[in-house]
Amino acid sequence: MSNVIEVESVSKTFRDFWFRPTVKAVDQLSFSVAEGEVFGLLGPNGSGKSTTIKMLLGLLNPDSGNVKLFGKSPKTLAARSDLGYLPELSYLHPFLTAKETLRYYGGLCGLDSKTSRRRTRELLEMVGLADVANRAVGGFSKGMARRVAFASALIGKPRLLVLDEPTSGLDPVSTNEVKTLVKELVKGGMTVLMTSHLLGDAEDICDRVVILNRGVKVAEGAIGELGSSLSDFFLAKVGEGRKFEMAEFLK
Amino acid sequence: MRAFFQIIKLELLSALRSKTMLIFAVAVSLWMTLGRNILKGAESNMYQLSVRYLLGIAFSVVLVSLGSAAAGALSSDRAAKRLQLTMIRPVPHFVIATARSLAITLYGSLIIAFSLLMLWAFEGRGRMCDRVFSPVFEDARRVAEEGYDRLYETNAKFREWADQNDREFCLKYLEDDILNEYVTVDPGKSMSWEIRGVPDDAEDFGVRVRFIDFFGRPGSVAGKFTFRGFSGSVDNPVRSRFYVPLNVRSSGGSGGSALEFHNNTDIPLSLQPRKDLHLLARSDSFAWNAFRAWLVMTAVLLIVVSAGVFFGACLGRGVAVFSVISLLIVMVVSPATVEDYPDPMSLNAVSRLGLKASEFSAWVTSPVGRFSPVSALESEERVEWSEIGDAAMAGVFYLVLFSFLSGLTMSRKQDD
Repeated sequence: MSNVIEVESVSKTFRDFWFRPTVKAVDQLSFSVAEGEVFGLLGPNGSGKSTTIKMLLGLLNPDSGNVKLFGKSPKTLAARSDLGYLPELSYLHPFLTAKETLRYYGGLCGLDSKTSRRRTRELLEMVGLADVANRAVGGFSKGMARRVAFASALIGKPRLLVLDEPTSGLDPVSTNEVKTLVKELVKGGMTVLMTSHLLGDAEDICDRVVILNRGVKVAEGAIGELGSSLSDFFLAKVGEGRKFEMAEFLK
Repeated sequence: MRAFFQIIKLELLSALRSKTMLIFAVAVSLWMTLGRNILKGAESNMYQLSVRYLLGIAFSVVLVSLGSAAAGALSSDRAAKRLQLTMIRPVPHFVIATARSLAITLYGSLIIAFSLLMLWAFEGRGRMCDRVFSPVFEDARRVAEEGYDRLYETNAKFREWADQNDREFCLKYLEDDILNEYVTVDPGKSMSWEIRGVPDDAEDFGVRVRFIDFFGRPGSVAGKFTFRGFSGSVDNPVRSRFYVPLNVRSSGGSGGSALEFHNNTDIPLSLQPRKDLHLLARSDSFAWNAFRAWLVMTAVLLIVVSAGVFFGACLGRGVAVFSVISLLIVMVVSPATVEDYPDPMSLNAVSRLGLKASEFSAWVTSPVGRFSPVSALESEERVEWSEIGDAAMAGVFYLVLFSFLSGLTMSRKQDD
């Protein structure tokens, strides 16, 4: 199987206005994701997951190292045409209806009007929003907006789906639906890269994971090879030495 | 192309559903209606005042508002993290900038069209416009260059002065002299000027002229203008600026391209024909002229909006909006500063630097400032197709340039 994502010794340091380094977000990170795999990018807050995803999407340039999607730079149109992305928050245009949102992103993917209409209808049915297709998404609940964003990520029928906290804001039933959906998509040949704070979700879906802490890869492997539950493994790797000291006045 | 039209549709839907267009339409209606009632007190020159203040201010507000909206288009979307969802799709980034610039210009042009429509309803019905023809003269710049070389060789005083100043300044000085050159028509004598390009079938002529002595004072004027067998007399002891309709047609004398003036007074009459002598030929209606002016205004708006989108691609919303407004202020102020053209030798170093900065600003903003459809409408002059062509070319050039730069910036700018 060929690799869909290749990340080689990538580093990224954020700088202030005077170009002084403020934080090293990612340090010498390498991993690859094979076609048809569900790959988890895990780590605590501030571990560099979002920065890594932005570099994969071509929204950030790495200071050093290489990022490739389908063997090409993520900035190329060819790489972007096979990419779907669900951000951590939905970031929808509030004045568009659910249907218009999908048609808009369908248009951006170059779909003709007929295909775009058909896929929009099918996707809205799939995420359970067919009956509110003509309502402005600005009035949607967080969970509904999340479903629209999920459908938007799929409208171009991407080969690679990047999911940033896909179950964030969803109720348990919807969370289960998303997990089932991801598994179905992978059966159809799609490759998925996801981040999540919910280790149970990652354990349910992912074939392999990379665990990041403070921008550095601390572990990588198949879920089954980690030896213990993902949660225990994760806490052992990144939780070491981290403990809240209760403030005196709260005791 | 599908992506391009989707982005345009998105921008227009945004303007419609956020009620921006409605608010604009209501504001323009209120301004045009209330402003007209205020101007009614002036009674005379109602048309000119309406064009200058009502349309002029409406157009300025559209430029400022939509320039600012353009500056906010990409920057706001970036701040709200929506831009990244468009940028990761298979759409070249310059297409995103181009589509947004065109969409904002499109709805701006609808607002301009609406204000022109209201102006037509108030003052434009039955009104006509004129084509303006100037006498044929040798190019002032070339004459100045020849004069410079000749004077430099033959006149020691000029050579000394020229050596103290840069050549460009001296040429500008000489060019101004040539443009302001007086000619004198002696008592009982005639003088003629060649006018080219007047259509053969034109029949309704007038002359716009200003007689003035060497001290800038008006004097008594009496005389007769003739063009292609049409003539009109002027006889006024007080005013210096005249519109002389050529409404008397004599037999014969058709064709030809000379505008002739015969001095009927017993004193010499002076004028500056390069500046103050124009033949006017009746063209078509205000409505057509307003349509042509609308095309030029749309092109000007396109330049401002494209610049705004570019600023928004590079900067945060606040700074981008500030930059657009500064650009428009500089556009208005710089040409006047440069036009006055103070002598660089009489300025101190700081003022010279300021003059250079003004010249640069005037040069940078000249693509917008040099088109003046509002003043053409005000003076009932026909907006020429050549001006529309120039404006359209400038609009497309700056759209392509700024969109390309915006695309480049969007690709390079770190979304952190």
